[in-house]
Amino acid sequence: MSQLLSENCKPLSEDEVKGLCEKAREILMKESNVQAVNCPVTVSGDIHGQYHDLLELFRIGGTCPDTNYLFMGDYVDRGYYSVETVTALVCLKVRYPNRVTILRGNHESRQITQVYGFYDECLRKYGNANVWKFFTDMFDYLPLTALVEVSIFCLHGGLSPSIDTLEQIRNLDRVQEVPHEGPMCDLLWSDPDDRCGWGISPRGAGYTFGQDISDQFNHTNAITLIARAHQLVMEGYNWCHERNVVTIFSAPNYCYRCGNQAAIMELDENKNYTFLQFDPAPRRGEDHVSRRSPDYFL
Amino acid sequence: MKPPSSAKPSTSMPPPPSLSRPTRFPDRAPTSPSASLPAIRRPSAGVLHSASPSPSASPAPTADDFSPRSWTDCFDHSLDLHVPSRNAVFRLYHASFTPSSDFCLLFLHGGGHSALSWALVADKLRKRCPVIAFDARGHGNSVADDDTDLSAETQVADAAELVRTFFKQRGTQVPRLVVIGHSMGGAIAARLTASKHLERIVGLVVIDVAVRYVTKAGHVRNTESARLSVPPQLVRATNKDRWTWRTDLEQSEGYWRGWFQGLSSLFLSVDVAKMLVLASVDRLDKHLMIAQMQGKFQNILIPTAGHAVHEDQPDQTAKVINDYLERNLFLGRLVEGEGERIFQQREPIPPCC
Repeated sequence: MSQLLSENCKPLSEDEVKGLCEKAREILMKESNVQAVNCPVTVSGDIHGQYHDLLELFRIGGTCPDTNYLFMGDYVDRGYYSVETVTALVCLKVRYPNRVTILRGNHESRQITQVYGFYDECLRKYGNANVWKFFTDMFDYLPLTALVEVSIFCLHGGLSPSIDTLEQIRNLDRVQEVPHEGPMCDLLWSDPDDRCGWGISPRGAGYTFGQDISDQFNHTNAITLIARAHQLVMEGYNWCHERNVVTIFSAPNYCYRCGNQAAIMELDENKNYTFLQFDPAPRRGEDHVSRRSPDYFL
Repeated sequence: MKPPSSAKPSTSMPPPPSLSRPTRFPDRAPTSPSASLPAIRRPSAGVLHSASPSPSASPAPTADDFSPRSWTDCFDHSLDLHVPSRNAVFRLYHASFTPSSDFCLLFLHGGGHSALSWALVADKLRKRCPVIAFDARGHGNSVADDDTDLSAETQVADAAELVRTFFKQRGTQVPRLVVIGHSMGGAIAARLTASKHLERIVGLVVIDVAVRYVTKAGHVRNTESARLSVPPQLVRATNKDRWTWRTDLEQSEGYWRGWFQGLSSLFLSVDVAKMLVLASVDRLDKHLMIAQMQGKFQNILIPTAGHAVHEDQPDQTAKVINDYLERNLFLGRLVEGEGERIFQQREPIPPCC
């Protein structure tokens, strides 16, 4: 494990990944769609294959099992080290199943990973798509949401017009590819918005929801906060809806060009929160990545 | 500009159907965009062509069939529309209009291409709603007093005036529009939307806009589309038994910066439903990347396509546009009741309660 979480981490062999994913699946299939989590716990947002920044996150937030973690999805795609990132997180889950929670993000999907990098990275690093298949088959079992101490609701995206209660989420059949629409899709794709009510999401999936919606949802389900990821926020975290909702984003300088800080949210045993912000990790071995300047538009 | 080898015009090529009526532009000899393009032959202005009956029944396509195809396979009507305020006659193709149409798609082609680069996509989408595509000035079968002025301002004004003139002649008001542009046309589409020249633009779709592609017109991998879209890009060189490119793109270089400069911010600032369709993921600039990761627009990747995304993958392009139109409720599909529940609160946008 210590070798896995090091700068010089070598990817597992194909057989090892297969075994890891089988083991993870056994653990995940017993978890709820609304997985119960206890404090203290540190909550993290998108990582997106930025493995060196994940190591920085552990340096800042503490290592497992001394710190408990709740990751809210989007481990893969976009960054150049999706394989290392998802391997490390799934290993932690398998090693410390009660101290680490990993939720599903919209990128933990066969369709999205084929376009945004994880599939190609698996092909590049393993020479075939088996490892991609092991991981994406396992992704189907990831829980959709978590509930910290019955009061802080954590998920990747946001609310759904088809869902009023946590009980409705518990009843979803989650073991499937992320659908294009419907409640399971919305939980992984929706965003909070300044405007009231439900809106059509400009993303092309999920919805936008206003403060009236989060007010109602939090009241109905007796929760105090919705913690979610999914959107880049320049300071790494961002409150909205008069603190009904907080967005946490944990990939600093996203995609090596956005210039944003990252953050994680520490919840102590009394559910008090502290945000820890961090910048990109200085890293070796990145010179070999050719960085063409972007050219969609000037 | 050197024609790409993959689409090299050959002397044995039969005349493309859209160039088969060698009548000169009525008012004036067309200005030649460059020495290599001395004369342009085109149908006379104001002529209306109708798609039915099809002038040439096309035989079943075979894999090695490179013969030109007719626009009549993909549009209902063609029209050479005189727009006096622009001193120009634009070749326009349209389909599926009814007297009560209050929504349509407006397609803007890329530099060096022509309206028919949209033919296969339009053919799919005309089954859902009215569609219009036109040749920009200096392209295809359109002629203007200054064919070489491809500046963004000129093209934006052209598009707006052409749309107004078209619907005025039809005796209807300009309908709600979704503007769809490729490359140079994508830049013009975004600028047209931002300019407020046309009041009823409700959606913007931009396909693979990138300055490094400007001179790559003609790079089409899909034969089926090339059979439609390449002929209008060619003209017969005077007194020579050979074909040459209609548009000298390199001569337009002075305008490229104007097409693309500040386009990311402009695209992001426009308050309509936006979709960006790309052939490659890794090339978004910082502003677009941040906005994409904040969910400000829809980003679709079609990595199997080249720069001419809509020509290489017309079915997929038509599908993503159709899905976008449905999602944004420009076209009906939603489950009964759900549409009202979600949509009623979002037009116009009030401050949060």
